[in-house]
Amino acid sequence: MAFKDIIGQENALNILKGLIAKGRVPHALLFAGEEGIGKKLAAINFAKALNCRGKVKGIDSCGACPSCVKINKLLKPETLITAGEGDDNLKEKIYMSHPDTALILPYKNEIRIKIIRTLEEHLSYKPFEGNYKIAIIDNSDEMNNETSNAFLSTLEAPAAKSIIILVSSKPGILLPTIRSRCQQVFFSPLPLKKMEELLREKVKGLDDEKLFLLSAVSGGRIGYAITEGLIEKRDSLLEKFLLMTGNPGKEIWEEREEMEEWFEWCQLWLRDIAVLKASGGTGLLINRDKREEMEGLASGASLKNIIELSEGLNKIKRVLDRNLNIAITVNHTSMLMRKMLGRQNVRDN
Amino acid sequence: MKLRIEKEELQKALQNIQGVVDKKTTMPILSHFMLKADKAAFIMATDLEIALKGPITAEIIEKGSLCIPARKLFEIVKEVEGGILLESQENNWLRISAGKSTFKLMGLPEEEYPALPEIGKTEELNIDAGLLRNMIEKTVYATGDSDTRYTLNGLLLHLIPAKKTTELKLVGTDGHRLAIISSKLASPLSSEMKLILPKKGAMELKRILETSSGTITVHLEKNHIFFTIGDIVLTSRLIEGNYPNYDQVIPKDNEKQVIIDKVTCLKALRRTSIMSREKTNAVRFDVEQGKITLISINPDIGEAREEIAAQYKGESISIGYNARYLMDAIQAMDGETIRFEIQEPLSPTLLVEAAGEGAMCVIMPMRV
Amino acid sequence: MSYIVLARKWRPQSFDDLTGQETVATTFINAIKRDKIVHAYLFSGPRGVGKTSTARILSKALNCTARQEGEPCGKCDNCKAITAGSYVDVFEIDGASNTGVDDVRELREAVKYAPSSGKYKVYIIDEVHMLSTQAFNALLKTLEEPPPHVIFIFATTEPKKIPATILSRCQHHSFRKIPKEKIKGQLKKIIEAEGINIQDMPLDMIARAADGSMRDALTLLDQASSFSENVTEKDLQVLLGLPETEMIKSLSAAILGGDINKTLTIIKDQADRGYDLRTLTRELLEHFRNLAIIKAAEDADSLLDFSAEETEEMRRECCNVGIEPLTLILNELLRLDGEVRSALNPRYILELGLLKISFVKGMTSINEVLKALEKADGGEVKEEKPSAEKKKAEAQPLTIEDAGQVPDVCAPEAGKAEVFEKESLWNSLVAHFDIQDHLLACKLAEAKAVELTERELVIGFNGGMSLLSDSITQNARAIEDILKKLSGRRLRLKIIPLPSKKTEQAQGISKEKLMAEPLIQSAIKILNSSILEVRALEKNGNSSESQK
Repeated sequence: MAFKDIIGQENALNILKGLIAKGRVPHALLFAGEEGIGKKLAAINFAKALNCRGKVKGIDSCGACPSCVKINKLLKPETLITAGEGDDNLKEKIYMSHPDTALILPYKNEIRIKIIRTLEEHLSYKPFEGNYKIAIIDNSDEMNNETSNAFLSTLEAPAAKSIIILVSSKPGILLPTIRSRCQQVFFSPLPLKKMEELLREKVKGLDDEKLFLLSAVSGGRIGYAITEGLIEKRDSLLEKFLLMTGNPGKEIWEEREEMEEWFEWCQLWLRDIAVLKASGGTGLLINRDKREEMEGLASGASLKNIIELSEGLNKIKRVLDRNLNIAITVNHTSMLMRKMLGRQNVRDN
Repeated sequence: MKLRIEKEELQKALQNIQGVVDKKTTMPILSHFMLKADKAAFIMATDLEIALKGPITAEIIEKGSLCIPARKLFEIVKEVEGGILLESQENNWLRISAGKSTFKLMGLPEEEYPALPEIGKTEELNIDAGLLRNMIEKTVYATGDSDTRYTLNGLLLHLIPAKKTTELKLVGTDGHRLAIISSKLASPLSSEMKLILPKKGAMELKRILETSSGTITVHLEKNHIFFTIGDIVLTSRLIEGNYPNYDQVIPKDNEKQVIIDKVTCLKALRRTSIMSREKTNAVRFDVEQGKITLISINPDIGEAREEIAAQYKGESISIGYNARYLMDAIQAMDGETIRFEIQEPLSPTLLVEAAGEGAMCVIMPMRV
Repeated sequence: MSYIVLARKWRPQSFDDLTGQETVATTFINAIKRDKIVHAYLFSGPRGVGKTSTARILSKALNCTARQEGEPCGKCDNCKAITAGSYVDVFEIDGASNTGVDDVRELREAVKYAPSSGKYKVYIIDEVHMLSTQAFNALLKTLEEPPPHVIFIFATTEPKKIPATILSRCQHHSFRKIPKEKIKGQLKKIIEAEGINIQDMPLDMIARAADGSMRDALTLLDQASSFSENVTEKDLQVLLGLPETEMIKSLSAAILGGDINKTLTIIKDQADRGYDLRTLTRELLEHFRNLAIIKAAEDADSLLDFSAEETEEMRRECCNVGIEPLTLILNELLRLDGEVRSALNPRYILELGLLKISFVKGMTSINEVLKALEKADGGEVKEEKPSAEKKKAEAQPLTIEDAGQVPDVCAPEAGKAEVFEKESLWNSLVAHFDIQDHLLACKLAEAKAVELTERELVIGFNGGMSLLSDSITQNARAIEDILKKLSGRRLRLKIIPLPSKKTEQAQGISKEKLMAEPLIQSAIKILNSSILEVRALEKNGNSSESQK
């Protein structure tokens, strides 16, 4: 496993390889981009390349020397017993399988100051066996305000031979004072063509329409695209969407999570219906294999209504975490949908 | 890997490393130690700050290596008798047989253990164990403790080469006091070096030196320092960064020189500081011709005064100190008398052993 | 050796070195020269503009043994140690880890010790606003009676969070964002010293992206020079993760032109290629913000930091759109930006949002909104095109082809052009102003030439345009001058309102009645707004387009 095994991300990887080649690796980097597109993977491979002891020439890591073998374990951190178990004070996980490389993950969506202190201690020594002491902080936007501010001076000027890599899918949330101190490397979602190629290899038995569907729906995120049962999920949630225009029972969603997901997916179908109406053709449709259902819904609703419905559903989604009464939520949603879409395709339970 | 070891031998070796294995929780494999059998057998343990490596007398039946949970093996060895057979098996299991009992412990492969550098072609120095121990004792008390300026959390080893000798200075400071001691070593050195030895490494070194004698060898590598004491090697990682310019801090021409009896001063300090406020332990020294009055005032509790004799023939001066700092420094000095070199109430005071050119301590006075 | 980033390497080491903070620099140089030191300073301002640098320079100046004209010498032991960060008497603490009362108490004790070698102990507390209230109170006591050998320098990006009691005991220095040109100037110095090859445009992009922060600019420069031997605009786009400017322009043109298919196709294309749609949304928002500013502000040039050509181009782009619809679009995009950021799948929200915007574009009054909704309710957004085309027809004189004629007509030495035809006179007039004063030309383009007599040229505006007619009136003199040149005779400009059916309808309609209209209600919902008031159009022509 090395840089060359990462799919896509040409720009980002070129930037990283260039830094190593020129000997200009900055002490603080921010890997930014959508969730699930390979940022953490790149960070770990970057660490390997920097500390590799087995390569003869070239930039990429060898993958076989003891250093690479140790750092590779960070790819599956759950297999490492971590600090945190048995240590009440350190709930955030610090994974270290190599004495000079640490991976930090938030605990319950928070990263507290204590971690930074531990990290600073780790960085205050000279390297143990590697060329650099490296710290990777995943979901770094989950550093709370206190932690972020405490981190500033270390991020500005850490001890020599330290490299701090912040990884974030929401870089806008990080304090500007934090971003200012890091060289940002942008990671982008996988292009459609590459995604289709990848899916064709990894997932068997998909026809062209389904292949396209997965690729488009994944938004370029590999991890998401190969999730088990994604198409079945789409089918099931779409069915419930259609049921909503009729008289759904309050048991329509099996659990909270499903309800939240349903609201997310609604935007996809509404988008398809809107696009059908606006462009007058099916060329831009994503749910191509459900053309008929989409057309049916499109015929009965106005563009204005579709947009209003989208906003209405979004409003409901935003307040979902306030422990709403499910029955009322179902009723309200259903009413809204009937009003906006008309009673097409009514499927009564 | 397969070897046979006597219980006492193994127990002693494991006892020695317990201090090193337990501490760190950030890297789980560190709760293991490494046992390696090649031409000879040795064990090694590290907590990423210091590492101990020592030989172990064993009958090597088959070469190999394995990382073994330290605590558990220690407990097992304690309860068994006689010779112990250690045998590595598939998937890194360790089979322990002693008498009629067998145990199996889950181990880890050598590649997963932090790889310490070997002592290769590095600079080498020789120093007497007793001397080094003494030097550490006289300086380590003044180092910082979890200071955010991490370079202060260790001892500076400043090595200055001369023609055929090397001067070694050890410095410890926390910003408010600075202890320094210097010796000449017979070994030559190619160039000047400044290394910062972490406090923990210094303390562990001192502990080992307490039961050692003779000459020890010091090897200096770019990220680590190795101390070979007998057949044990203590390795310490070095702290990254620039140590403050200590020479700047040492006052050179303090005019007022006061000589006091060490023990008397210490006792007086102990007594008067009873009244000082907890954190600062502030004590005022009213220095006059022939005597010093120690005063401590705590408006909430009370006050203390004590007069001690002193050799001094100058202007009177009042100067405040942290009593704790004074006591630390005085205790670290040899001889019967101490010399205080004072300038102003707010300029650094120098404490020196009146007798020889031994340890020195610079103390920053306080406002009282 | 570890690589030291440019931002660290090029940290200013003297007051003179500071970029863009001349006031602060001068103040301190004078203060040091005259030995006018106070015991507590507060430096406030955004990130990367010089607060910490100034604090360190001040620490050096205070303890330097060989001060020169108010500046630290940089060569004495104290200066060198402070620069290396190893001087024991200068403490840099962060307010976030030392927020508690206990930490401040410890600080107050530590402060009692004399400095070890220099004159002063300096405590630099960064992001001091993070201190808790109790901690501030504890600090207050020390600030009230500061030991003479101690200096506090507080730095913060959020001065509002500092209690007034502390503020009043500090000498407050405000650090501003550094102007783009100054940043660029410093960058030019550095690229020469470092031997970095970078063209002017990408250097400009870096200075702009830095948004007033020198550190941001240096971090970007570092990255750019590591990325390429000869840094180009394209390189910066890759580094900054920006969508191509051409694409944003096409997209914005498609949106303004009401071309739904094109809009959706561009989004699909970007998504398929793997471009980040969140960044795209933000860039689109930024672009429309610029357009709105250009539309609304008199001296947009100074507000925006673009070149004259770029500003011209943007003016041309939004020529056909009124300020009101532009503002509505901007509002929508603002909302969209926030939603897209938190959505799991930004694409659908973006597409739906852009579809919604297509309702907004091209409208200048509630009546237009109603008209559009009426038509759109059938479901076909294509209906929108007629009004867009109508607008294009009215704006005819602005086409570039006309500009070709102008030099002949406008050149002062040219002989009298015998143009008597009403339309051609009008066209020429507008074309002339297209070059001289594009904004005026846009406004003129909204009008129709009604009548040309011996003495006057009568032009008329449709119902809701009197705002424009006012502006034209203000420029009447200039217009009349040109008319004279063009026509060869003295003409007066007369502006009349053109009656429209909508005006008659709008008369006598009360707010309540209007509110009752289902179409109005839909309009209100879609635009997320409310009716402030209803005014008859003929009076001042401004439709009461209310905002949120």
